[in-house]
Amino acid sequence: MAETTNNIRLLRAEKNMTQEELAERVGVTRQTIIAIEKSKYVPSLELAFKLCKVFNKKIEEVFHYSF
Amino acid sequence: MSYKAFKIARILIAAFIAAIISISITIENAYLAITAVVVGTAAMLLVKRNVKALLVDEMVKTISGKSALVAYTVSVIALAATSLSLVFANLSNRESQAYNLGIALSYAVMIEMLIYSAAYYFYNKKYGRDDE
Repeated sequence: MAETTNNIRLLRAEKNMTQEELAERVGVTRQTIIAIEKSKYVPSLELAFKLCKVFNKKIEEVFHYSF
Repeated sequence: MSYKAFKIARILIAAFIAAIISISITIENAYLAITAVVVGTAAMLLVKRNVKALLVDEMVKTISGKSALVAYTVSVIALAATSLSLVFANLSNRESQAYNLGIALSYAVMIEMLIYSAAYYFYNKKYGRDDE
């Protein structure tokens, strides 16, 4: 089964950023960040790019898609 | 106002509306119920305006969309089944209340499906139109 995973929790820890701060930076609720980190929710392309911009990473460095 | 305070205010407003509507039913006063709904809605709008925290984002919208689809599907199937049973069970007595209720429910289902179709057409046109 196809699955989308991400390194957001790791990248956030590297930047010493809380879920609340990240949520505020990208304009979503903290619940959404929690769901994305747990790979329970796959963000829209727009939100994915916003998250990548915060961490200054390419999209493939943040999100992984396995077939 | 924080999100936590907003949640408490929302519960209090809902409790206020429920209490006033209960009283209005008891004393058989429709105007009181209408006033309670209007005041409650106005209070809810005021409270929402003062919330600094973000209330709706894309995940909330996705969840709302999925919930709405489930609610639509369940209500249409349940109402259609109920209306068909009422109509066919009372075909011999077309003046009965049950038969008329079945007819009314059929119209309700039809209106619900029409609204869904109109909304689907609108959003399909908005997002699915091929401009090339």
